[in-house]
Amino acid sequence: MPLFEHEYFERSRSPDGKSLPIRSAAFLQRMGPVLQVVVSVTKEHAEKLAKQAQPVPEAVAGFALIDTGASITAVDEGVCQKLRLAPTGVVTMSHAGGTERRSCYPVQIVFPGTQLSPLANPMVVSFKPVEAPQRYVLLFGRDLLRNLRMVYHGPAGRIELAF
Amino acid sequence: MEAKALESEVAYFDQHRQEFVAKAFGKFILVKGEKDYGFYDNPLEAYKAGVDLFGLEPFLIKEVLPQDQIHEIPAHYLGLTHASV
Repeated sequence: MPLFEHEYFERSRSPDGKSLPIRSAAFLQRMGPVLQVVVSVTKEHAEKLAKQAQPVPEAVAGFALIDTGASITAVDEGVCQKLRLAPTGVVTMSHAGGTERRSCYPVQIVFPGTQLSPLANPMVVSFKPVEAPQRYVLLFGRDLLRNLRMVYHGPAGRIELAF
Repeated sequence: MEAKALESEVAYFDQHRQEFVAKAFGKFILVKGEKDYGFYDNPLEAYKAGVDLFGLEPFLIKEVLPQDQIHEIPAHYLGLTHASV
């Protein structure tokens, strides 16, 4: 079973401007299990555009949170608009105010700088943009986690994904 | 995005849901307009078929179940996905 390990490390600044390392464990606690991702149109979508001599929309880079509280993987709606995606599904979402139906879109997810294979997901639900800038472009839900084993190693500030 | 683009496909699926369940429980159906285009073992296969048939137009992929699954993303709906650090 291939294993991906990611140890978190970041630098911060002291009040007098000195660069300070943040311990991995503290960073993982603060940020959660995040991964760098690049979200693009699917291979099939890109091939269709190429056949029509249309330009392929530029991929969107950002952070994805592995969210064990989310039952489904979700992408920022703004990303779907930038990629000019057409919907492929509808799902019902539950929240404190009741339920709503949200559109799903097909995307390809690449994990730059890792040995993780690109992931084609034909039905990622969109989440609504809010006024503040989004911290994540993607939330990985339990639909992804059902296919792999994840270890959250708090003391070491590390996650391990076996897939 | 609130789901409005696929209203006719969803209505068609809901209208025929029971017969689809009897025929292909747990499979993924491809629907465009008021017509279905086969059942597939997984959503990726249905998606590839949809792109072959309809290009980049909207189409519906739906898991054939007696009732829709209700999903939740508490972090987003609690506003935590844009919290500052």
